[in-house]
Amino acid sequence: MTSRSCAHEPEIVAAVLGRRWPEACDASLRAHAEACEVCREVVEVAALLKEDYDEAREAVAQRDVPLPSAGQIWWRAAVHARAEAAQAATRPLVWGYGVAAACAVALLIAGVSLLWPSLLPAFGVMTTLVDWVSPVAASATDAVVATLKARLAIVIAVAAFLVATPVALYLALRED
Amino acid sequence: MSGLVLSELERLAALEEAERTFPMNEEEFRAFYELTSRPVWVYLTRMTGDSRLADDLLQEAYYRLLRTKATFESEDHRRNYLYRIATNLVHDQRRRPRADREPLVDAERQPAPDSLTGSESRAARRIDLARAMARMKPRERSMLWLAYAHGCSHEEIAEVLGLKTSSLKALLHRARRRLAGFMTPAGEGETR
Repeated sequence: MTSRSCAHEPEIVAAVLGRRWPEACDASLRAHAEACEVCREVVEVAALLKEDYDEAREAVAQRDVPLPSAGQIWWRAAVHARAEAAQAATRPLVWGYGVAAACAVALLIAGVSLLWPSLLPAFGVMTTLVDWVSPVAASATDAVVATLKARLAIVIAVAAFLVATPVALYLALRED
Repeated sequence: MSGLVLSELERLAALEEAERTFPMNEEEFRAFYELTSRPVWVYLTRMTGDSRLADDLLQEAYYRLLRTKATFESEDHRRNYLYRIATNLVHDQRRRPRADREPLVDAERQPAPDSLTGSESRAARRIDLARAMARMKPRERSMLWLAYAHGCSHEEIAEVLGLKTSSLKALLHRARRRLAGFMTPAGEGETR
């Protein structure tokens, strides 16, 4: 099995990147690199990549479109950050609208469930009609009414939770 | 005119806010940018194979660096963090499906006809390298570039790529072998 690394690898890489390889290097290091398979490979790869890197760095300076200046980057980042902050500031409001709409629906359901017993006589005629049209539908309606009556406390708790949630969210998310 | 005054006010407000919220002031940023922007751009270009995309990613990388809440023990630490951001941006970019994705061998790297007359073998070697790098896995490309173009230590590479230092030696060895294999004529047919 071939060795995966060699203790001389950092030295060789430093010599190649520092343009000291091979002439300005210690003769023993050169001799080692010739004998060591890992170091030979490191020299080959590092020399290629270093050459490519140097060439690319030179090419940056000669590009038609130069790199943006530090000032441009700073300025764009500042504007971008400000836009993001503004967006973040309006986020609780959007959440608030959404939660308020959910609360309105929940309150409506809670109200209807509370008033349902007193509304039942008014819908007596309708219930009769429903009974006549579909006994199955009538039994389903009765089942829903019975469930709502039995779980009135839960319905009220859910409604209260939904009312309190937007207030709590607003207080938690507002910045000031 | 009033629009001009307003935008000027907004500009000042944005700059004031930047000085307050960014983890370094503008002077520090300028110095850091001058030191790092070219190597980072070259890194992005070589990792994406697209110099225009590298322009965009460069700006995004510095923006993310300015917006980070992380604290840095040294300039080297900050630089490594920047490379980490750049690496993640490249990986995100590659995960994104793009019908118009360009090949990894950048058009700017193709030698001009007159450069071929000057140093044909060097130009040919660079193209071979570009092709070989294009066949490597993204993480291997980053690893090799950081190790042998930038001379980063194993610890630094592990930090940038989010790897364990202990496993880096083996991964780097494998990547180096693969690249060397692709660079030789016998490695042309190699796929893994």
